[in-house]
Amino acid sequence: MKKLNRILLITLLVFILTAAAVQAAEVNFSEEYFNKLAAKQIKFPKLKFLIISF
Amino acid sequence: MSTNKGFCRKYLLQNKSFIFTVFLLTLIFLSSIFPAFSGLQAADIKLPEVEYKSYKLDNGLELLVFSDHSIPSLRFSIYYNVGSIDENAGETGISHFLEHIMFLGTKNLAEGKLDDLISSVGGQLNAATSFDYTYYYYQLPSSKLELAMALESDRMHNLKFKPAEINREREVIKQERRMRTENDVFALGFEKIKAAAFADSYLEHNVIGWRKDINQISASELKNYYQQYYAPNNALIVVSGDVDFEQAKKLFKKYYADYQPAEIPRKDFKLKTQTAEKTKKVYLDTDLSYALQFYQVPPANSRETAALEIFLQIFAAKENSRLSENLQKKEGLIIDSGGFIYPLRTDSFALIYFIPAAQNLLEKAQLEFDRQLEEIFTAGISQQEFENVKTQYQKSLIFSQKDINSAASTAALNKLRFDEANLIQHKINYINQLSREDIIKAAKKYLQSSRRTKGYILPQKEGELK
Repeated sequence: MKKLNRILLITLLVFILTAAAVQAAEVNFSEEYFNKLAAKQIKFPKLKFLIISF
Repeated sequence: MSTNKGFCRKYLLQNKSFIFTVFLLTLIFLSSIFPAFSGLQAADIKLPEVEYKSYKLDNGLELLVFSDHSIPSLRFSIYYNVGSIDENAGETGISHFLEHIMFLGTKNLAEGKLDDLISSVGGQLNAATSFDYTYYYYQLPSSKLELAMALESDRMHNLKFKPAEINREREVIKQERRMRTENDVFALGFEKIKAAAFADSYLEHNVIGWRKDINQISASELKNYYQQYYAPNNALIVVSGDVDFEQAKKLFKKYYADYQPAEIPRKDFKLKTQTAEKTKKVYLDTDLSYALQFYQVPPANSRETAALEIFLQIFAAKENSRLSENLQKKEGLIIDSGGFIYPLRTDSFALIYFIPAAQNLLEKAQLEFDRQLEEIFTAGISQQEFENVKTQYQKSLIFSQKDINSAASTAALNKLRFDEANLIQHKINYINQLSREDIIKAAKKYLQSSRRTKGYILPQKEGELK
């Protein structure tokens, strides 16, 4: 019985933690949120080119 | 020396693989000069299938990714499977109206902020509404994919519907209608004649909608339309350019997986087959007259549509088409002509038009038009005419795929309309299989006079006299 209780408790805990994680993954849009996304540094990778000299 | 010669002979005779290689190279060389040598009579034009990766969420929203890392820029597009053909009587123009509302801000983002954000990262954005789809796109530096994903996710779910702002936008739309339709003789005539040709069907009105409907569409009707059609299972997201599929997929799941699908209302899109020719005359403020002939045609993925498109090139659309050669250059009856099919996911329409050289030549030009059509139905088309147009048409299809964004948008539309992203490649293949007889058979079926609406745009004075 004790063992069963422990299993049930662990299951409940896992369930609560999963629900919390899903909740945390939800995006809360706001003007600040979009500003942050826009303000992230714009990366420009180097263009690849080849120089051929004669 | 003799030792060398003997060695060579011995080497050549013994080394069978060398001889085989020489034979193969000769064969390849001859094949390249004479295609018939390799067993091919005439090389068929082929286009390789465009490569993309896709991922579909449980809610029905799908992501297509077309990667090309040559420049650090990408295009993010979202397509909604809704356009003017989905609208009901009394709410014509609502798809286009909603497209405007999409720029008036959301519950989280004030009006104008969307444009500011995109400008601040050096990007561009725009949108368009068509008969059977609506789309929104961003051109951005490739590191800004998440911004586009987030902004469109917000707009898909949190749009604002404030009556005062909607009324202000209504005036903008009415002005757009005045500029593009009411003050343009051809566009206005086209609108009126098409309405007569397709009365009481989903093709009766144009994308912009009727003025009386634009005047009365309410905030609640717009909101209802948005909730009905702007659902994940009625949309498609396409990212092309410098994009990594795994990264795009991660963002796609983050921003769209929580949305619930909706039940999408769909009408019966089959047109009633027209059985008798109709005529519609429209009198407008113009010096020139125009003749517009509308016909009912099948959806864009039909093989018959491909045959009809080739027929229209031969008959009306090309510079040296039958109409151009005979009615314009030889007889001097017309000054211009053309013909096209409007490609749709449903039964659609074809238009062939000509402009008579003078008002008193309209009747004669129409008679000659009919005679030319009858002649081509009876005598058919020449092999050379057929091959020329077929090749040109296929070339135009290939050139429409010249960069990753064009290829992606074509594939996206075909995926949205027919769930067949590589339709254009398949189309090129079945054009290769078409015969001259197939072209005439399709033309006779769909371009017969009983399925036609003859429309004329005529100078107003004449109308007033009548």
